Amino acid sequence: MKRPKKKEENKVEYGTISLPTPLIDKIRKRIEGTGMNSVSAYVAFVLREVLSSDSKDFFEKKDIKKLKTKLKSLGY
Amino acid sequence: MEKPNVIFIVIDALRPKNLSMFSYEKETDKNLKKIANENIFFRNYFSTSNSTAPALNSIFTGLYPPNHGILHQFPYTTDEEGYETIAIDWIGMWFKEGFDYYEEKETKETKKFLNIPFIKKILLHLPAWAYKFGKKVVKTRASAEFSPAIDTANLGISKIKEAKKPFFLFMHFWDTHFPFPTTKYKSKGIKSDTEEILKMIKENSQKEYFKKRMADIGLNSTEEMINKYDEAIKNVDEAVGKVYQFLKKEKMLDNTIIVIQGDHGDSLKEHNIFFEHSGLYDVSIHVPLIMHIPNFEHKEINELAENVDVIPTLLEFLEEKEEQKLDGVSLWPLIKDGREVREKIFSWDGLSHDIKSVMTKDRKLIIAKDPTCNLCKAKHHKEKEEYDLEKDKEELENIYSGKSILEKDLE
Repeated sequence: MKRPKKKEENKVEYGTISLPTPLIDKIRKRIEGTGMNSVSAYVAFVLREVLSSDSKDFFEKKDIKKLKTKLKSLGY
Repeated sequence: MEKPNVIFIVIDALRPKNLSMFSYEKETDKNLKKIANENIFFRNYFSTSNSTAPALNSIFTGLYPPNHGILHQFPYTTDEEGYETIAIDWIGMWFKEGFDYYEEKETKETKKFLNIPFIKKILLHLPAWAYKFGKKVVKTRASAEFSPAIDTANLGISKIKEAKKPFFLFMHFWDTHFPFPTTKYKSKGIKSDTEEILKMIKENSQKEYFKKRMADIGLNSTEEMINKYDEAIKNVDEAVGKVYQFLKKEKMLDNTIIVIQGDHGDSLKEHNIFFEHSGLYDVSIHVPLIMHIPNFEHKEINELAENVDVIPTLLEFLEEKEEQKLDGVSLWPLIKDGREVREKIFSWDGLSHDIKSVMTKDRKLIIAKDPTCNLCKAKHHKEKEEYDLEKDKEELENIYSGKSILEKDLE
């Protein structure tokens, strides 16, 4: 079974950002035992959350109303 | 080979017991069976939960419910890898995250004489006979409309045509969830067994819940309800068949991975649980899984697999790096060489207060710290139940005798 070969143009590129070392230490402590393997993974996760909550409202009133109606309809 | 497209198809509340590929007497799954026979078919695939939200999160994150929170990992990964990400569903909220497009086909809501939230709320607390009467004039919980399977399939096909490649497409078919709202079914006049069932149900709250469910569906025999479920499966089967045939005709199967699965099962009448998927019996967590992987021939797999394993499998296939430690394990050794990848299945009840289970090939332990069902308020499990799955596949005889070798797994 052949797996797809990665094309250079499809590769995700990573950049470097600077953080104060005490903050890095705090993050390191925070992620102990959480399943997050690195400070970078945690920072990326938190930033995604922040950016997505900036761009989209997951809990818009009209959507919640629609969701509740459908869930009730299914017996919940 | 270019990066493949990926299509996830989730068929809600689809249980193997009502599929002929799992020995059901009716052929409800003509197309699914054909797809299974051309691809990789998992007979012993289980969900981490009996409820859609935790199950879907497990499917997309590769994590068990206590660990996944609301992180929607896989659409993120594909999005960042240059995929166009499309979902056809209506749950929204955090499930939207990571998708470029998230919508279902718009449907018109049923117009009823009254649509006042306060009255609707009161109606839900009335006895079943009053509820049945009231729902004729008041827009009740059974009034929402859903997109029929064929519309979901057509929207999926149009999105595939428009999508820039590669794409990740998630299609969620709700037709098979009780009360099977998109399925037209004419009563065959089968004799009602409501009274017999009501005698079997011990708790009043469950009796009321059951009567309201019967009123919602407008049928009064379990046989007719099951017939309607079978018809709903046939409709989804036809729709999934249409998507598969489209991909075949367009010669896209060579570069598309397809994952077809149920999110959880359903208890139609087993264990005195009527038309709910509460509890962690086999009927509520055993689901079908079919995987199409380009250039991979048909294979039937009997080893254990769980829905958290699909994402690690795809990540390995796509050679993607995953920074977070996942609970799921890659199914590649199983698919390629038949090597067992997991000995145990862990599941959590998403509809009751506190029930979890662990299962091996031949044994299952269920521990219910608080078995109260959020839907009907009944208790569907004893505090501890253990089943010998070799002798007792239906999980009818609780053999728990004070201790179990599986107990430490649930501590």
